[in-house]
Amino acid sequence: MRRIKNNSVPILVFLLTVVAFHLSGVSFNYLSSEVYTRFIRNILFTLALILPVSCGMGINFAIVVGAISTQMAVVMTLDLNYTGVGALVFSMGLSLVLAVIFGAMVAWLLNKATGREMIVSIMIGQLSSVIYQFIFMVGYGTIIPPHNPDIILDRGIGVKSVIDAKNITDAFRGVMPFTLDGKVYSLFSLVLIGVFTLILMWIQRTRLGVLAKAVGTNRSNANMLGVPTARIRSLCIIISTIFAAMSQLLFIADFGTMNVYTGHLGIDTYAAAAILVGGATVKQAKIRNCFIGVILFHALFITSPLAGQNMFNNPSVGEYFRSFLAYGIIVIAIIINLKNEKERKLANFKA
Amino acid sequence: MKIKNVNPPQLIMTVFLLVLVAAAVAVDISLVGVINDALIKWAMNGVIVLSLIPMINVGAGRNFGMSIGLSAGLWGMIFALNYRMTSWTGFFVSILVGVLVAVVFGWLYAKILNNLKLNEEIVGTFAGYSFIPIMNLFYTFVPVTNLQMLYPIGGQGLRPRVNLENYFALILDNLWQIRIGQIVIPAGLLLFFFGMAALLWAFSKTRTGMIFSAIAENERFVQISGFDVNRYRTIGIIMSTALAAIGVVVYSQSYGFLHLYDGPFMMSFPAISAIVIGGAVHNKATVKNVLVGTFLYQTTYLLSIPVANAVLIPEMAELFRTIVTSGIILYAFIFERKESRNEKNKKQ
Repeated sequence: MRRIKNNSVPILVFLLTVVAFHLSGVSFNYLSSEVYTRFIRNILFTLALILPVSCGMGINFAIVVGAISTQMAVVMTLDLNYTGVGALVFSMGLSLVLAVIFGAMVAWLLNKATGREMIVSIMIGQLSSVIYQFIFMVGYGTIIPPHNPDIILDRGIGVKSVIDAKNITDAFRGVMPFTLDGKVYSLFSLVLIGVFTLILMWIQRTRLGVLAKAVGTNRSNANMLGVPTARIRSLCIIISTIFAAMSQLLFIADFGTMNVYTGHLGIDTYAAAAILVGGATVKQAKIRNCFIGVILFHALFITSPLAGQNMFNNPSVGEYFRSFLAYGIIVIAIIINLKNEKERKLANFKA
Repeated sequence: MKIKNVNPPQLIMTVFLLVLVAAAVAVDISLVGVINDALIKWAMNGVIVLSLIPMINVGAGRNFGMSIGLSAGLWGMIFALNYRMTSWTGFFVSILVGVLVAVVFGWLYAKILNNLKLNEEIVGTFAGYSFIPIMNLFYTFVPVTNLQMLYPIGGQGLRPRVNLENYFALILDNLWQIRIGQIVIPAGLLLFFFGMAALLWAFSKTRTGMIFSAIAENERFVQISGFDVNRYRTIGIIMSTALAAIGVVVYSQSYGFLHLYDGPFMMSFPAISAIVIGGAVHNKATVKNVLVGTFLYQTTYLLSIPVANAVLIPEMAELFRTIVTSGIILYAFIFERKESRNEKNKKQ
């Protein structure tokens, strides 16, 4: 009974998904191939949220910054006309470097806003997103000299809104291909995801992971015991940003083209909704929650518009429903979290 | 004005406004048109910004979930338009119905927020976001009979933009216009805005208004003194929601369209940014903050459009506005808290 109560959100969403799947009338193969694609594109974003949650900073909506660093790296790769493995290595390396730098900046800001990290991380995400758009829409061609005329708008200022990331996709495709529902997929992405999951598991077992948990449980106690809490929190945010950067690279490699100005928008909400659907709270998240959540959330995400189409003759109904789910689940998670905390305080008081 | 009273965002925005004015003069943009537009924009957005005051003053944070109140105003206008009410009847019925709906929405919103003290802002953001798809479902299925409001094909679901031209577009803007040379002062619109502001100012002097600021200052103390804090918070949140509903009606009559669906999605951030520029802090906002902040924010944006067009990068104006909006809010979250904390430490 307790198990069911603790996992009420995933169970509810699972039931909803089953109903939506039934109503949508799609084949299981279609659903699994779509879910697989979305799983590849989103799982690392969701994994990126774990460390900030465990060190008590709530959900890090600033993973947008990680996505931005990859997009910058990819634009630069294309601008410098790199191809083949060189392009992949260069964009990966550059996005890592940028992610560390930007992650440190985000961490600096978040450490100044203790207690309201979540809303501040939303604002950081928004601000960095516009600054990034500003750099590539206005700065490119005016201050930064462009090298590749193919990716620049005709007026000579600003990068095109959609650019072809073929050089990176090519490096991915053809490595360990397999077929699902008539489409060819690469196993390489799965291998990368596996490696990053193992890295995250390892980090959780190291000194950093243990200290992060201590900071998350009680920051002032940890501080008194001599744990450098600000440093631990910064490291968690930087690692989170790196994960997000790698995830965006996987996304671009899988997608083939890159939406320069909109590709990074919305990923934070979807990742947050997915991890919460998987049964995490804003105070506690496990790797298990990520995997369950991404699969459930995206299965519902795919089937609900089709279900709406079949039931109300209106595809937008399902679309509204899924965006309500994405935002609503965050509100519900915060409410549940606060209730649990109150109960815990009460229990401590009685004891 | 003492130097102490000018906060850094306000200073930066003022300097920036002056730079933009200089740039506008340099590229030969007529300032008369800009002044006319600035007056309208000021009052048009002003009421929405005013709606933040009660919630800030009762200590419930900046209202990031403003789209709940805005949706209530949209309900009011849908009601008025559906019964084909034109001119003043339409305008006032919209406000009346909007406020009634806002009381219900605000009460529910307050129920949620009162359970989540100190987390109002993050919860408000997502409560506002998740409210929009619910409203979209409503717009899709609402049984409206006025064909001008429905999609031309299918006859189900409201259009994303309903033209208000035959109803009450520009009704306040055109009221009592005073012409001085080329400059047109929309006295009716400004008087409505100042009237709302005066009412809010008067409210802050009443007993309830005083209790509001006491709660924002020290909630525990008020609780111990025997006041029902949650009741006052509910009143404040309902007031904010209702004012937002009135604000969106004023905004829409100026804009000329009823913007449904994702219209209210991003409207809370510019409003919050404006009030922060005006000098409001997380638990205290005055009418003066709104007047100054909205004017600076809107006029700067207004001026940046022709200047951006003159340098041939029209996207710059919108990007710049978003940078200012989120930058200012971020500033408010990061630095203001620290200042107030320092003050507390000094007192001890």
